[in-house]
Amino acid sequence: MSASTPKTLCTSGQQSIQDICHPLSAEESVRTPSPDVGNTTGSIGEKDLSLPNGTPVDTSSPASSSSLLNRLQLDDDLDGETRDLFVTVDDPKKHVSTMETYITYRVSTKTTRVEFDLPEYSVRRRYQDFDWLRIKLEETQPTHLIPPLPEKFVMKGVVDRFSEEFVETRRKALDKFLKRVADHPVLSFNEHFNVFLSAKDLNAYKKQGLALLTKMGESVKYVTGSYKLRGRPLEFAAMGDYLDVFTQKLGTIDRIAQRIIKEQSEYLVELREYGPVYSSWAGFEGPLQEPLEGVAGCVANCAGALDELTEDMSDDFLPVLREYVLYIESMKTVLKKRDHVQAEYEAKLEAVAFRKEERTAVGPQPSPVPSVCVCLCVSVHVQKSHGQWPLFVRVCVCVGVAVPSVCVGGCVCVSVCVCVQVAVPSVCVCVCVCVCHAECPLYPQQPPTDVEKCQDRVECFNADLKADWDRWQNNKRQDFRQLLTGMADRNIQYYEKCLAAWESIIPLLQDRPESTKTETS
Amino acid sequence: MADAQREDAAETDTPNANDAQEKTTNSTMVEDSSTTLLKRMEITVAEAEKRTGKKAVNMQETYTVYLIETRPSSAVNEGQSVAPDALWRRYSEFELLRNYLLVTYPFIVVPPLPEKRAEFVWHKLSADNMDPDFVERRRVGLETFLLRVASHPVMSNDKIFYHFLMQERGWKEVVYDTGFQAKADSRLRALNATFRVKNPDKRFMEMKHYSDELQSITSQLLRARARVADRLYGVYKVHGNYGRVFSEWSAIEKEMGDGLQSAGHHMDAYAASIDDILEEEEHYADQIKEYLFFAEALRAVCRKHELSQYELETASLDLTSKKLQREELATGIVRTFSFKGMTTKLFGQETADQREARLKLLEEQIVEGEETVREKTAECEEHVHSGWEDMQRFKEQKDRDLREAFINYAYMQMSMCKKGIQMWSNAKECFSKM
Repeated sequence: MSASTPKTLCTSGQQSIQDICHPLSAEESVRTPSPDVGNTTGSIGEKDLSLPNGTPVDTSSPASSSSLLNRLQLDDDLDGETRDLFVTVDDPKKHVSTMETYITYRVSTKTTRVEFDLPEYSVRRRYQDFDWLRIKLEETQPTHLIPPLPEKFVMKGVVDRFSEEFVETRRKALDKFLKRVADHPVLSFNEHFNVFLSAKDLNAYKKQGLALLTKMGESVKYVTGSYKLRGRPLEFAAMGDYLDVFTQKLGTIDRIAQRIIKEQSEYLVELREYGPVYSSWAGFEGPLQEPLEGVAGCVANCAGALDELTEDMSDDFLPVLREYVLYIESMKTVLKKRDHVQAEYEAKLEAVAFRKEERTAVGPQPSPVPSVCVCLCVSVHVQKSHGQWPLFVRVCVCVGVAVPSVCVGGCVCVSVCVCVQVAVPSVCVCVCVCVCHAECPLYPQQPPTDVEKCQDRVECFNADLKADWDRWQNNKRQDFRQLLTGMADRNIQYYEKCLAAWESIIPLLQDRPESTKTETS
Repeated sequence: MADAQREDAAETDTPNANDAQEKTTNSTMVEDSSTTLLKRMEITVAEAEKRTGKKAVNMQETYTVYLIETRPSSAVNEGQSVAPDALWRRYSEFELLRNYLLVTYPFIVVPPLPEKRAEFVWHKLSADNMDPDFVERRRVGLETFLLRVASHPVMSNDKIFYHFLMQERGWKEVVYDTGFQAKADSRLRALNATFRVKNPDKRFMEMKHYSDELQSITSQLLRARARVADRLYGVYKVHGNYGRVFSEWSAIEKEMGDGLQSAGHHMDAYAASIDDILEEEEHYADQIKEYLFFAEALRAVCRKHELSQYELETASLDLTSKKLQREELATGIVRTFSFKGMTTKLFGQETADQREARLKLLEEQIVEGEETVREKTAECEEHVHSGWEDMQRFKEQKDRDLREAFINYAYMQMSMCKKGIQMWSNAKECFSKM
């Protein structure tokens, strides 16, 4: 797939990004199929040589029939719904401007969704844009798991950011990212996603956005907040445990894979010294010359096959593994957010219960009427005799609450003691104060209290998370099935190549020349 | 390989056996009983055993003995189950036999013994002489040695060799009685000496050069192969870690668990498979090693030629100078410088009697010298003739053996590849069921 000699990418020359980003520019409006995308001319919904979620078969990789078959067998379509959104990332190009050098990728979209104005789009995006998209998704869909991006910064100093291998690895990861978003029933309808796929000028759109919370700030908000969870539901606790162990195992697998690559490289070095010894020997033998050369050639072939295997594993296996570690981190973050929301809810519940106790100690209780919530909306103009400011509140008076939590409309949130001094002697009343300004009907349909909103939030989050978890588990299963089968495949191919090499020299070795006594050594 | 090269000793009495033997091929087809050969016996080194004995006062040593079994071939062919004659010999006795053969047949490329100590080890192989794998490979090597000697047209007729196979006790004494020890010492000295030969046989010089190259290349090959084996071992064994981690991982998975677990087992099996693979490859290494040592034996024959030729040249020179002296003495013309001549000039002529005496001595010496030259010439010629013949035989044997070794090596590699394909296919099946 990737050549062993690093090739430099073709660049588009010195141009500013504004000039380059023509999503529907002349060269791209004619949707010429690039070698990587195998299904551009097919209509939407066709599966052909692409995965159900729109991933075209990477025809540039060694087209072994077994690996092709693998891709075809992947069954992604759980819901049975017809895919109506296909996204692909390909065609990396280098851009050199006065300020910087960077890579853009072509993002191609095909869709029948009404949310999109056109059925097809082709835009150019750089890594920054993907990063921006991810941040927006995290902000706007905090209850959902956002797929990870490949690492922004390359830590290993020797890696060339513009080498073909690095760019290809990154392209694949970006492609996977967009596909995962496109597959998600909620995320794919996100407005920012839509703009990302369709806008000619993403930068202009970016500037319109509200002042952003930085990603850092947000994570601080959700992660470092100290809270005590009363009762984390078992299933989420189990998820957390699972992720912890899974991260560990992935780390181990990564280390093993790296070690294998290292050992194989050292084996390769020795092989490359071993083979030529046979050649040297052939140099001073007579009838044994051909067999010796044959063996030397065989060893060289095996060495070549090993080289390919090692390279493939390095390029294809390790990055996917690492990406999953990032994915797990994202999932853990979402779990923490959920915990935080639940903690908030629990805290508010506690506060309300506490205040309720206070209320009973202070003044006359409204007589508890079980299961009946009467809502009385009274506008009271209260003026503090001593104070300077008039306070206008709309109060809902709740009367008689037996069990707060089952009461429709959530009757007890905050109990407030308000001393009112008017013409009549001061009266202590316990009231429910709703901050909202909605009309309070007589029937128990009260505006949602703070607590109620929290509870809603928790329940929503839980539901979203569960759905995302199931989806993630499923994708994980397929991804690893594909990854590991791919690894097995490559090893099988390696051995097949070696076997073929040795088989081919058997006839050469067995072919005995006529031995004559006058032969000189 | 030893099994593939079973050979039978020729009959001792027919003089034509030598010629017939030359047609012997170390063929892999054991059952190909060419009826032109008269088979005598079947030889095997069947077993190895540890013994302890007294080396010196209060010093115990542990050593290994090998069981040599012999059976008349006729009995075997007729399907009779005959109990073989058997005796035990230890490695040092084999060494003694070989030294005897080296000295007695200087024109023969004498087959080597398996190495005394394990060399060219890679990390897994034990360098311990007591290690069972080492002992087993040595057993095979000793059997190969005996079979090669027994199939040699000349050596197979040697009585000491026969005695070695048949009679356990008293063999050492018989060997020493031959007086070969004295020759052995002088041979060693001669082999290591440097001398300049004026007219060596060119073919022998080429052969010597070839033996040097063969020695160098085979040792290089063995070293490189050992390094390759070492690395290959590492690659396979690391895969065993997959087995463990897949097992641990499968514990937290629901649907993926079974597939992962089974795949892990296949990874374990894959990691374990390298032990047998490399053990088998050691046989290939042993075959190459044999020829590393053979190169030395070949070189020895060439050196022997050089020595013979040198002795001949020296004797000839000596004879020539003596003849010249006689001539001078007879004619009175001094052509060459001699000390006697000088003193004669300085101190006066010698008497007629003295001259007569000297002449007589010279004549005797010349007669002796001529005899010596005749002997040496004959010896040299014979050595050249027989030596060249045996070197040709050796060359053909080497080409056959090495070709066969390479074929076996190729089959070994193919077998390793097939095993690898099998294991990874099994693993793949488990993965696809995840």
